[in-house]
Amino acid sequence: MLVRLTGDPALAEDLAQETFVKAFRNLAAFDSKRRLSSWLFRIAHNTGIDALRRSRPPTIDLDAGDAADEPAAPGVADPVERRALGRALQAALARLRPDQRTVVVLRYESGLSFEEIAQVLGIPESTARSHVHRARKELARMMTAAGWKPE
Amino acid sequence: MREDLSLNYRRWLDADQPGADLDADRAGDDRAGLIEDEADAAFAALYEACVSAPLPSAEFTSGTMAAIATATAADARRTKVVRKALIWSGIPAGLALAYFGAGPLFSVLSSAFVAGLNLLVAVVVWFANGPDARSSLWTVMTGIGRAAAAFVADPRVTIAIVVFQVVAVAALVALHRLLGPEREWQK
Repeated sequence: MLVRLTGDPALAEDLAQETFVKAFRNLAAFDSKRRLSSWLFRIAHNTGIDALRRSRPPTIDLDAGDAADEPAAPGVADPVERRALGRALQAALARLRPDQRTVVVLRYESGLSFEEIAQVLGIPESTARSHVHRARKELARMMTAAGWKPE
Repeated sequence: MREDLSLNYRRWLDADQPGADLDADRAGDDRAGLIEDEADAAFAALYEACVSAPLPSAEFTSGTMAAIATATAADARRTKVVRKALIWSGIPAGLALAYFGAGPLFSVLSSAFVAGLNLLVAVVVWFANGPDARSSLWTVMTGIGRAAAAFVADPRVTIAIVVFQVVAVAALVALHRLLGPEREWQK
């Protein structure tokens, strides 16, 4: 999640370490009725957002998902095309707003339910659903605009 | 599997295409929910197949353990220093407070005792006189009010109350410092 949020693997590792240190220090405050992963994601999210506020916005490789470099109307059955589609999806993901990027990663990369996403972000479940829906639609729009149309 | 990838991509784009929301809303809540579920499932399958989660470096685990050990040692050192400072400043402060505060404290306590005694006497006299003395409950309440006001208005009492509050706040701050760091994750 932190890699996607910051766009910088080295910084993300530092933030992940910071997350674990914070979690270790506050372990006594952990409510055992909640899921440990949700609690850790919440700390990680807060740490990542703080880091984004402190630093400049992450640089995004716009070429990675650009229509000029990718074949239009691809047949994604090809492994090469599949890798290209993966890169294009990641590039589109990097261009989303940080809050949208976070919900997509939590939902589709970390496999959290909407209820868990709501807990992590401290928002109602319906809002979490709405954020995921909007982020996915925005991704679809970006992918289509980049020339990734279904066969 | 590869065909599944292509199929999922098409399913996702079809479900999340612009205008799909409006069509679904016109068709009703059930239809909108189905389309949302379809898009969610298709995108989840596509994401899993195409996007690999970034892995941490080989040194991440050892680095994290080292960071935790360093933080724990720093916390322990800090707690030790704070505890020492509190003990070495708390003992003289406590002695000074006992030395200078004992006099005013006893004075305030004796004043309170005398005021309570006066009040008790007044109540006993009121009960003893009964209705013949034409004193009412209001008279007793007035007496109590005057006694309480006179007690509180005494400068020694005011100073003692302020001192007690300062000591209580200092004790709370000291306890907070001793009990650990702020819960940053609850932001």
